[in-house]
Amino acid sequence: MLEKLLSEERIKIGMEARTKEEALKELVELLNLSDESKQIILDALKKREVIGSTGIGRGIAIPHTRSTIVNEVYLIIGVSRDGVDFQSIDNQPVHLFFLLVAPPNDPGTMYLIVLGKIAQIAKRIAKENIDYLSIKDKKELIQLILSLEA
Amino acid sequence: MKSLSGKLLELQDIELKLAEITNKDYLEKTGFNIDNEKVVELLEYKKKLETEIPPQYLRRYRALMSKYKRAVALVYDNTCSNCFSKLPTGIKEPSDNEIVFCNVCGIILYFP
Ligand SMILES: [Zn+2]
Repeated sequence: MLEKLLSEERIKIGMEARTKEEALKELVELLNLSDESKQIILDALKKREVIGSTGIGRGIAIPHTRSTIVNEVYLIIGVSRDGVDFQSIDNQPVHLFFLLVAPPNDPGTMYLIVLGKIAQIAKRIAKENIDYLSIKDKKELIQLILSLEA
Repeated sequence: MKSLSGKLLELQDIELKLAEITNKDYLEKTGFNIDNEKVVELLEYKKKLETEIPPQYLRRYRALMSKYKRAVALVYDNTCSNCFSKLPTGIKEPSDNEIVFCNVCGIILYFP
């Protein structure tokens, strides 16, 4: 399921952002959409963060939103060596981002299923202390995520 | 200053979010924490946004919402993303204070 959502174009290894806002912007920037569309997505993601950080702790965050401005589900992955202050539940900086954007009614509620899968993968990465920070190659990162999907 | 269709799209995005965070399946699958005080602030923001939309359009928005569970749909490839009908030639992006509806399903069109 994640395989068709993962694309090297939508992966950033070596994020430069330091703050939550910068991180969301840096990741949304990877979408091949108009500036106006990206701004609407960014706005929707920020509204979601205000009502509860999607930083789930142990260095991982899953910013996500539905928005009318997209017509397919997009998954963006970001890795930050230095970490981003994301007001996570454990107050630890975030090093790994899974950002998900979906249209209002996507077929088969793929969005919720993907969101659930990502949450599971994130928990596994944290629990098994998987060293994703040493990965330099996007293909390798995709392989790691796919290997954790099962 | 946002266009009228931009405001309606924002309103719909907020309502999608509010529906999501109260969905049991969503909360169970993900385990995210929601700060209810901040939800109240978002509701207040939504109210303010609604006052910026002329009442006749807000009524139309509500009617479409109850019919389709959405009121605003994206146009892509000159097609309505709600009913997938090709738009008639000549339909183009409305000015900031106007709205264009799909001539087949009646939904509010947003031109990205
Ligand atoms: Zn239509």
